[in-house]
Amino acid sequence: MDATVFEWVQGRLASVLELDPSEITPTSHLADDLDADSIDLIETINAAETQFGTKIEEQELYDLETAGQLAELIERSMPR
Amino acid sequence: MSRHQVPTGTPPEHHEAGVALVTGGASPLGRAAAAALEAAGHRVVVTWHRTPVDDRPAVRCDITDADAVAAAFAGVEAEHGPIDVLVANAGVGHLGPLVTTHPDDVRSVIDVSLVGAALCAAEAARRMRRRRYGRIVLVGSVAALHGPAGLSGYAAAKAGLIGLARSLAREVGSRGVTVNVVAPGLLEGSAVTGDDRSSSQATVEAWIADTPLRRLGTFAEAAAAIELLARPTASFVTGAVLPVDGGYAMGAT
Repeated sequence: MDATVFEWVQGRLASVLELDPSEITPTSHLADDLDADSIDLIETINAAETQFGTKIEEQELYDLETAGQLAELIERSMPR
Repeated sequence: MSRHQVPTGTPPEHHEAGVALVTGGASPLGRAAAAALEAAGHRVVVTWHRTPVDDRPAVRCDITDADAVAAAFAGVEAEHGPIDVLVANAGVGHLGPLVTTHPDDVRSVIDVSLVGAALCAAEAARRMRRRRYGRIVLVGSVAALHGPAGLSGYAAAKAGLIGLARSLAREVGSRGVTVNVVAPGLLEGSAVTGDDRSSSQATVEAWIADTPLRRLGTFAEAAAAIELLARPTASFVTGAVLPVDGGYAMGAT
């Protein structure tokens, strides 16, 4: 996992969820640990589109479980 | 329940009396709602569009412009603190039969009264979700389900607010944000009943005769219902339509 992308995800989630970034690790469970819901994740991928030019469909979020998986999804969706 | 979750509608521990934002602050009901919320201890800021408000904190905002709405919310929060109550009161009506109404008038009524309320509710919900607390009160109307002749666009917009409230209530409920509709009936001094009233005296009298409480309502009575739903203790009421109509539409809402 790209550390820069994860740090960005960490910062976005911290902002959206009003958490301290240190509370968010790659293994943090989005729903159970962070209380993130689908609206939070859609806000995050919309921001990723602006930041990285990624195109992620909402359906791709359904199976995500951890913050690390979210970062990996963004990383592999980046334009080459 | 995860460690970050709080019971629905419980103000956060750091919660201090937040800001109540009332759109349409120059209108009689906007003024009454602002006064009722102030009396209940809220810090109130109102928005206005055509008629300036100078007797309480106010910001000019075209609520049909999403960027303007976002800027107004950001400005109010920067200056006054977090908005934890939104009263979406701003709206316009157009009187006349639909078949003789200009298409632009149909559009403008829906644009202000429904789309404008949706844009404000979206911006409020976006912010309240993060803080896991909020009260959104949409000002509907008995017209929504009664469907008075001559007010088709207005009735359509007000009916639309009910669907909007219910969908949004489901979307944000897990974050302690409630969304409800207050549906006033005919009020003294309103566009329908006031000095420049649009309805005949006979129409108003027939309406009163069909009202169990046998009178028109007041802006203060509608405002009291708004304030009620804005309370922290109104924490298990969401997606509701609260008529304030003297019983006129009983059974139809």
